[in-house]
Amino acid sequence: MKYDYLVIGAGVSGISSALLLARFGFRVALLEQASGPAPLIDGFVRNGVYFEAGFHYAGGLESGGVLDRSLSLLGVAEDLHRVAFDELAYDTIIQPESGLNFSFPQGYDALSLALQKRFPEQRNPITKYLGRVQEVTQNLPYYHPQAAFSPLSLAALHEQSLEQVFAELAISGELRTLLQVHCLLYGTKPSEVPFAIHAGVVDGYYRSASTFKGGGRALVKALVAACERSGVDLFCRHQVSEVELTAAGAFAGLACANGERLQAVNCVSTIHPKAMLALVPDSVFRPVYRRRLNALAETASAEIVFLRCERQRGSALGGEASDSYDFAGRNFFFLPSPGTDLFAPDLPLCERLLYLNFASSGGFTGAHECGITAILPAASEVAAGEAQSRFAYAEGKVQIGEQVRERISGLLPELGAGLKVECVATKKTLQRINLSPTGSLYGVKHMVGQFNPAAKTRLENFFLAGQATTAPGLLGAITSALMAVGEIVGHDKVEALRREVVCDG
Amino acid sequence: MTDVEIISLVNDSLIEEFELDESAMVSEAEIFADLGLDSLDIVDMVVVLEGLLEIKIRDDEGLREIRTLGDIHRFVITKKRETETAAD
Repeated sequence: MKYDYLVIGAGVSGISSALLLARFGFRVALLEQASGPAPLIDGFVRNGVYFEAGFHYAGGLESGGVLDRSLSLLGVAEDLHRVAFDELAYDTIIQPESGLNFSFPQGYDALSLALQKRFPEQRNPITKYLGRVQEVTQNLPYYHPQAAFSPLSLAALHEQSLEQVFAELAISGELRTLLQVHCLLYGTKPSEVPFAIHAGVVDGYYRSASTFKGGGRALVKALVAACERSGVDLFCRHQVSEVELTAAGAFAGLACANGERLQAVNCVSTIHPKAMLALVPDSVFRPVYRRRLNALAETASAEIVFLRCERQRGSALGGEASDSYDFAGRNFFFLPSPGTDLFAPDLPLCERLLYLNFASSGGFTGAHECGITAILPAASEVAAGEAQSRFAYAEGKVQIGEQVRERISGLLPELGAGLKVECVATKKTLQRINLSPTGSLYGVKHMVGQFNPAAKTRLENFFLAGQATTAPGLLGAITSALMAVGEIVGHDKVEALRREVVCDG
Repeated sequence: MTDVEIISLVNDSLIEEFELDESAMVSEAEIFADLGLDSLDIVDMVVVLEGLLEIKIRDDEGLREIRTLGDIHRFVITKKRETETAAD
């Protein structure tokens, strides 16, 4: 079987690329090294409880919202049911030492009011900041593909950091702390992240925060079903080991570690750019391009602890929500002590920023127990070479789990004695699953001054997609597929499809 | 840094980073037709030149006017001098 396109990586960007290419009439195969598609988005079930792995909540899923429209374009919106996060307190930020306790309510108006009530003296900066987020997002070329742009014009857009905007608008103190906490969602510091990238992420959440009924797993199921409907062939356990070229140096096909070889005229790689480089013969790309890709900065790593707890009603913790409620559909951000760098990765586990996500219970209502994900950002770096025995590694994981469980029990005693550690993921786990050399959570950063790779490459008929090329998150992944397919079939055709399907033009 | 030094630095760097032929590095050489660069290389060229000379050219309109190696030299020398003046 000869395909028109082979897509490396069946994550969200890979599946999205495949679906869009199929829509334009191409015969497409998707190759995934893991045993199932989209392993970062798919959750897992242990002892009867569902845990989210990489999908915690999403912004812009409201009807007509930017993510909702993107899912419509992929033909999966109708298979998914949105479950809204807590209307008044989807994100609760707590700094135990200072007494800071603020909950983000859904919607720009509600958020603006809540912030102004808490920080009456910074009313003006709050309004300006929220206005700036909306304005910048409205004009993001990658969310509005009709706007012509080049990597160089993107660089101009990505010149101002979030920190610079805070300084310009005189946003300081606790307000600044609250507004920068969402940097955790893409693993880049306020001083590094372009304001436009940050705005593109938080704009969605400021509008609406939700998950899917059935969680990340439901999204993966819907995407796979769409592949089946579109005639896209999905090959899991197919780790690509080499990009093969014709005698003339054009793309010819892919060799897999299992010995299989697939031929095609074209290819879209959606894996980590550094992992992609390792598959392509050195002669293909210029030294300067390889160096640029190898130098791309990595997002933060993390220790991730998966816990189970009995479902029960908790007492009020956050801001306006004064009635008792279930924690389902909420996130908690427990901040390190005041004066400490919010994202300091080298603090001990009991002092580091702790993110707690109760999304899986939101996705799976009715179960006796629910799964909780705790994420503590860690430094992203190539692990030191010292050999660690399997036993020592497993023992280390148990200790991490217990420390984090104890801390959570102290912070949220409502969770009760039934709180148990199910399993722990470390930098090493992330290295393996994310194909990131440093075990980063989200792959490469989007950073002021850095040029991330574009969809087009020097190797004819070989394109790149994935969050690294465009923007972070689910939305970034889908948008990257739109960009890559736009390079392939013409951006005007992708735009026409968007108008036809989404009818928002 | 003199103009001659800048030109030599730029040429050496382009030869190495883009695997260019040393004998082709004459100022009238067209970067696309003669040196074999293409539009995809422009981003990398900007990154190299910015790093090499500690200048900022990524959003400069003048980039679009570049046709020959000599244009690159003139462009970066002007930029370098502007940066030096601004720093004084």
